[in-house]
Amino acid sequence: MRIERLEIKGFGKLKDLMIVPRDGLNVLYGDNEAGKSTLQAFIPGMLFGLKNGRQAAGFPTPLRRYEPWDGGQYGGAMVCSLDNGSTYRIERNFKTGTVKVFDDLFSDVTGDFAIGRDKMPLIADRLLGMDEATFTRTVFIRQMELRLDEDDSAALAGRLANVDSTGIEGISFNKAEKAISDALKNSIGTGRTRTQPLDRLEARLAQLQEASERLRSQQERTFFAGRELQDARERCHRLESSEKYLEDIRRLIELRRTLDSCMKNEAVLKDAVRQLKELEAVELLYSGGLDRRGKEVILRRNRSNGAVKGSKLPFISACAVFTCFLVLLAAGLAGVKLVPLSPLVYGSGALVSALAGVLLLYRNKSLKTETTGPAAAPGPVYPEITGAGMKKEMILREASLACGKQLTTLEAVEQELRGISSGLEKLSVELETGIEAAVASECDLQGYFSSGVLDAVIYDSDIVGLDEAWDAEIKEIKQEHLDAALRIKYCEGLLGGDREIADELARVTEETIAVKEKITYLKNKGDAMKLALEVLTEAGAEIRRNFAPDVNQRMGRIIAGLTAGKYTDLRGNDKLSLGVAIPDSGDVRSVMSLSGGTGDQMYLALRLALSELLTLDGESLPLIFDEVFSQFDDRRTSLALQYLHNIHIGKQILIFTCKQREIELAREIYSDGMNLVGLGYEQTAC
Amino acid sequence: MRIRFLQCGDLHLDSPFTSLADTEGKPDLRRQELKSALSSIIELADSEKADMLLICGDLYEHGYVRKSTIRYMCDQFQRIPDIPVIVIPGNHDPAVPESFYLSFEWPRNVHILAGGNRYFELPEKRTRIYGTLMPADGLDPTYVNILMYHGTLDMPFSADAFQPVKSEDITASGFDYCALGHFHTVISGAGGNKCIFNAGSPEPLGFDEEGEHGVIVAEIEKGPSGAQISTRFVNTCRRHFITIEADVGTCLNDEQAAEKAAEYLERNGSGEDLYRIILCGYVSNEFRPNTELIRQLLRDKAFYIKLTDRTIPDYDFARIACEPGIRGLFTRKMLDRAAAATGEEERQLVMQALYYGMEAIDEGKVCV
Repeated sequence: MRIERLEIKGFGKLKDLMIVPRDGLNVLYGDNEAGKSTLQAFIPGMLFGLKNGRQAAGFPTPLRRYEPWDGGQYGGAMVCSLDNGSTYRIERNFKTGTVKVFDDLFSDVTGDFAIGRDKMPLIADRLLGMDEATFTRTVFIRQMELRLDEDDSAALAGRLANVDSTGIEGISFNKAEKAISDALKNSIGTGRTRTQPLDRLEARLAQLQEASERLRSQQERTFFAGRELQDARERCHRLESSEKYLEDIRRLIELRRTLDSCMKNEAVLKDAVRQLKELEAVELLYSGGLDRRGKEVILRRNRSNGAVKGSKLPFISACAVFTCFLVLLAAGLAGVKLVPLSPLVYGSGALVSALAGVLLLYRNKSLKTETTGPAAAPGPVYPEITGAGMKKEMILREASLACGKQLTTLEAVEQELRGISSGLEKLSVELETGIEAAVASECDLQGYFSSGVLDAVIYDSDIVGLDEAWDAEIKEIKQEHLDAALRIKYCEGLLGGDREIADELARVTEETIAVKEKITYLKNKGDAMKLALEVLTEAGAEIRRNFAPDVNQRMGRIIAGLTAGKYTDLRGNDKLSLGVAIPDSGDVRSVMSLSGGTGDQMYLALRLALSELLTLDGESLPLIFDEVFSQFDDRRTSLALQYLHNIHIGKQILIFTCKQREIELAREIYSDGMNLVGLGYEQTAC
Repeated sequence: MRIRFLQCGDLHLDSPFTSLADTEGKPDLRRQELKSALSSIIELADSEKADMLLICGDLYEHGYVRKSTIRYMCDQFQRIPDIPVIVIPGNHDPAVPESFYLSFEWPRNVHILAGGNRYFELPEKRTRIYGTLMPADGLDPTYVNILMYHGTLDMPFSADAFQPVKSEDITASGFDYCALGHFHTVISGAGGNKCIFNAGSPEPLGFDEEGEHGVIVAEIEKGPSGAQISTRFVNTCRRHFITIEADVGTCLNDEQAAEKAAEYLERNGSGEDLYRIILCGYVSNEFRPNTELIRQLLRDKAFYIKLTDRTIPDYDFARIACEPGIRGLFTRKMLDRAAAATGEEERQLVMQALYYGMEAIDEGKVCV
């Protein structure tokens, strides 16, 4: 390819400028800030477009950098012709981002070009057979960018890896390597990424595993809650039985209390009845109301307690004496015939017997008198009769108080007593039955009221003690019951969520498996990509090793030319790191250790060698150098220009310089074949 | 004496259906179908007038079962109150302290041979069902002695094998019949005296369980000369897992691949089944089957579809290997590696790497 014409409408400080390079050497000369570098940048700008996007901090993107200062048109055109004779006009408007390509018939052939990732047609890639990265590292040298850094060298080495291809455009080791690396990074994920699919899946898997552990713990707690619930329910049931048992005990205690009270009342009433009866008997005694027997009783009692002074002759003694009389009488009557005793004996005996009989008769008479005679006059002889009415009232009052009823008569008291006695019997039966029932309930309550000792406790304990013991027991049971009920609620609450836990656990398990499958799927793909990258790199290195001798041979030739044979052995490894044999000693030194000017010569040799190699079977390309001889002395500059003249006859060379001396040296070599273009001057042909 | 019974096992109720993990709703549906399978088994036990129903372990998934499912099981068992249901625990429903086998009140006709339960006896049939291979009191030969066992039969013993047992041990034990569980496939008449039977799972649970699934209806008649066993397999499964290979080599896009796969589906099963479709064949370089899209296009053709892409891009590797430059050298190296691969898995990895490399070299990009 050769550049036929550059039409700059607006590009940086350049405006409405037309440059017409020729074959051979074109020297574009201008002072500093004349726009030389800007003009040079216009060329790849037209061929490849200007980049806009992420740039290092503080540095404008190329698209912004070359915006016209006056804000006018931003673009231009470039006419170029290929080795096959076809001509193309490329028009670009950098402001609108549009490009058009016309062939030599002025047909718009823009659509014939493949579209790149930036959505722009790949014009130069097809016309030159070279991408911008390769272009700017070989035939196109910017000011102060003669040397290649490690990345540049590696990129060129990658490009060279396909130098022997069948000519399929776009095949690039670097591209392929980058494609796989990008796919690995963006579609799979590497160990260093955080947001790529594999990373997200791994993170999700970790979350799911954590969720699974948490759910399992909850489930375990639920299982134990189930058992605890069962235990709590059983405990509750037992406590309910115990409460019922204690309620029964309460009834028994009340029965016992009632029984005690009734027994007490019964005793009171019994005593009242007895006393009232006695009082009545006394009353009857003096009112004739008593029968003879009753009278005898009272009289005897009165006599025994000294209330009555009466006959002291006990009845039995009188009977005994009388009996002796009868015996003696009988004996006497019989003995007169059988035992002849003196009549004195028989007379004495008869007298005693008669006396006994008289006494008996007297006693009866006394009794009769006492019991039928007028009531004893109040006085010390019948103290129970004295105030009997008052005593009677007192007794009745006490009896009434005891049973809580108004009792006014003995009959009423007796009736009440009968009632109480009957009630007592029923109470006793009821209490006994109640105790038997409580024991039979087989309540396992231990403690004071345990069924084994209930009988003794109910019957033998004092009521106050029973009440206190019962209060303590019921309080304890109720508290335990409340605790058990609360535990049931708590466990039911835990168990209420068991369905949710099971559902969630199943979902987590299912998602875990799905995620693991995806991870395995991606990892397998990642492994395949890594293998592809590994083998691709291996293949690339092998090819680079193959082209290295060719490059080195060319570099050797070129450096010999550039240094007039001083250096002849310049080599690069598969990464294009340069080493040179020092002429005198033969030692191999890294080019980086040489002087600036010498190093520049080495890199110029490299670039020229690569340019030769990469354009060997493809389109020839112009060499476009900006201040490339800045570190060269006059001799080196002259040697370089001479080499270029010798080797690149017919080739188009564009050199941008501000050095008048370079122009003079070039003129010495190229004489009429040099095209001098002054920036800021009119174009002149030499 | 004669006894007739129904043998099943490995229902795995409430199991998480990990084989269907990538589809929403299908696992729940399958779990519901497992419950329906239990219902069918109950109906079959009734219609067959079985004397008892044996469930040989893994009735439910301990780690996932809901209490409502336990209640459902109890409701089902209560439908046949006169038929004893004898259950043994399995590795998925072990009789651990928190197990429902120990903590739940099962219907009266359900008998769980776990813990201290030595055997279950059906006196009127002079039959005893044991849950252990070596009962402490030995076997009464006047009874029909049936062993229920959940374990691995005749497999190489390893740390993973659950309750491994040898068929000769079962034969030597003296049991008239061994109702086995754990394997999800049918075993019929194994062992020296052909008394070992495994019904398998009534419903298949994964793609490694293709074929028919169901229960065994068995009858044992024991006389002085020994026990005569007759069995019949009854199919109970509603769905089948089916694996098919679909050659989509002539297809140029996903729609065509889906149509081709659908043809294979219709030839091999019904819309009720679960399919694993392996796409195979040599496809054009420019066509990379999108399995997700193809699956979407086929979603109405079956209950569940799982797609695996094993298609091979139609590169003429023999020609490419002869090319100079990076393309040819890369291809030669990869083909050498493929030839040296020690297994199919490694070979597939190498071939996949080759395709990625070719795509990267030719297109400058790689589609995952």
